[in-house]
Amino acid sequence: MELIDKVSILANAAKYDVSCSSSGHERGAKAGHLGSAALPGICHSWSEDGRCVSLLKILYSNKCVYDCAYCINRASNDFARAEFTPEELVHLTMSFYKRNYIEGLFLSSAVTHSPDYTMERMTEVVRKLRVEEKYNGYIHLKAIPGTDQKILDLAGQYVDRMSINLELPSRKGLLLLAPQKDPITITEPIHYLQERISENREERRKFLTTSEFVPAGQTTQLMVGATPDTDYKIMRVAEAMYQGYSMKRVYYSAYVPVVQNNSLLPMVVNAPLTREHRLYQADWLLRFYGFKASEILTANEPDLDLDIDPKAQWALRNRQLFPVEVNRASLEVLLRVPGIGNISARRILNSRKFGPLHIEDLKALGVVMKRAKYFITCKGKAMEDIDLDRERLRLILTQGEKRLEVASQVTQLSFFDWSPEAFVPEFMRIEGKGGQSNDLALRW
Amino acid sequence: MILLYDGSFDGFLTAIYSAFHSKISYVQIFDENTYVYNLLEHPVVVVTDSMQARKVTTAIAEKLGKEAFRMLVKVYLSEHEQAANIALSFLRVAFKFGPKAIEYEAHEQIGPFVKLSNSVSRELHRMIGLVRFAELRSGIFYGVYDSTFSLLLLLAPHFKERLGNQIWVLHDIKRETAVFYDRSEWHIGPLLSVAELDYSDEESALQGLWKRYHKEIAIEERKNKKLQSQMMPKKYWKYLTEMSGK
Repeated sequence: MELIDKVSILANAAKYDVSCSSSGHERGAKAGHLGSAALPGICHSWSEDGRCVSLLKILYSNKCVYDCAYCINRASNDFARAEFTPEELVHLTMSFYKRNYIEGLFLSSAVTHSPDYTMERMTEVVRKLRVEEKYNGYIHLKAIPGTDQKILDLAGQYVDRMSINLELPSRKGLLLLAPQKDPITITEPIHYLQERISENREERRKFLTTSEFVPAGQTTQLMVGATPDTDYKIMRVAEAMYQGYSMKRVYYSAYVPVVQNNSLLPMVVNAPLTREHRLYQADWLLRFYGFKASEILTANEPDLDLDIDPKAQWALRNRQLFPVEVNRASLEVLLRVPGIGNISARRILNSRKFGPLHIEDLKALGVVMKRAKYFITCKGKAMEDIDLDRERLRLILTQGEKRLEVASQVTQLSFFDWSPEAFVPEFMRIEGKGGQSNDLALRW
Repeated sequence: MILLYDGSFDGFLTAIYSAFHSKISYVQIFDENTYVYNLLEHPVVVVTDSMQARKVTTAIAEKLGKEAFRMLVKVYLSEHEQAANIALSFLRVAFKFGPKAIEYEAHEQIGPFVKLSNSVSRELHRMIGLVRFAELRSGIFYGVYDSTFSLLLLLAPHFKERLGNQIWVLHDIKRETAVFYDRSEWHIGPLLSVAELDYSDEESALQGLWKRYHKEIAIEERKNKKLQSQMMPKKYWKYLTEMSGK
């Protein structure tokens, strides 16, 4: 098989794994090596679906022995199969890297023969890159559920980030749709990696010469819309991941029906893109805005409103907390105002040091006045009728929002439509909140 | 009063120095290479003086901090028509606040300075990802790009770090200038458009692989060309291997 055909098949087979950023670790040039890693990550291109292309995201092989109902690569699917040799993949990665097409490699695989066998082949690729090619760029390696810990130990020395997908928001869902993937084969490595990563971080703090082990941490992914799990359930799982397992990112992937005629899967005409978008917005609230999952949703209101963003939804439910005075409110409070994001909140705090802010200043600082004016006062004065009734206010806050799934048109919402200030590095750590179990065994 | 400088960074700083110390309160500074003369004004041409330029940079570095200085460089590189005036306006108030000046974005003389610097930073970050190199038969990697702001001096250090043991050329085609890196240092010099490039044997195959990869990773059901051009403006597509022919 020609290399170009292998690339076609195996890139196509990898495209549903969305956890492929190149962020999380900074590494300068090393003498005799090629490459570096940038902390915020770098986007090199954008594909026709509007998503960023940062890494060479590809499968080592798609000759899978498993038969997961939702997966395009499942064994019972009649589909072209291919497999790389380690040399081919290494050469491809290095050649693309030298041309500045990519930040690095994102390597995953279908399970060929067994988890250990597959993982050993993948580890060989990354070992060759680091040791033989002296490659110093970014590597993200998927861990195959059920891999022996010894192999994880070896692979972790060569890569920046590893991930294992939860696949679905509940253990029940996994058991139903992917019966060959025992849930424990997913949770065990997540636990194990988390321990090894923290250990390594501690050691590196004490002894600067300690070599790195998965320095950019782990991430995970789950599908949205393939099972009846609610957004509340999804948010609680994500929260447990961030608090209990130092997970760097949880990714939510709208279920795209790639498999036809399966009674286990919902008859979805359009992928739930708006829902996916709302989940990312809620995820941002958890990580950057100091929200708890139980504030965003409850058992009685378990799903995110599709017409309005989660923060505005929360603000409407908690109007008794508003208005807040921009010249006195703390950062935590400012972040709760619809229309004020991380960057504008920081700017407000900085500018306040020099003197009181006037209404005209706020727009220049990036505050979306169209929304914020119903929730704030400036020097004691409100700009709008802040006693507006809930329905009218809701209408105003949904203005400009649009659903994505329109009959045959399915598009990806840009993050920048709603929260232009969202792309900032994390500055708020989510502290483990006492009294609430983050044990994955209880939440998933 | 209108002052004109020669377009160089030292000239930029000399003009600022003169304006700062002149008794005339309303001074405007423009790049003489792009200034449009008219009958009403009589601009004064500033003679570039490195000593005065150094005084400005020292004052900024000491009293306003490294970040403010970096922002000043970016404002200069923006080649914005009002760049010097925005910088002058900023400096007139910044010394009062010291290193924290750049945080006071609400101030009408500070905000525009920070904003312009941020625009340059944004394009820089995008360009770091969008520059594409091609391997020539000689083994040299040739990269060309077309940017709104003058980014060559900011891009060179990044690629020296990233591609430290390669020989490469980075060409700002609009400004007909290029950086040449020889595995240890980079040098800047003029470079007009290169007519015919002699690519290596493998280059065409690799470009084909990249184009195919780029096409295959898009999820059909999520096609959104509008979002694609929003994130990656079409003005940059000319030198992107994967977008050639679009």
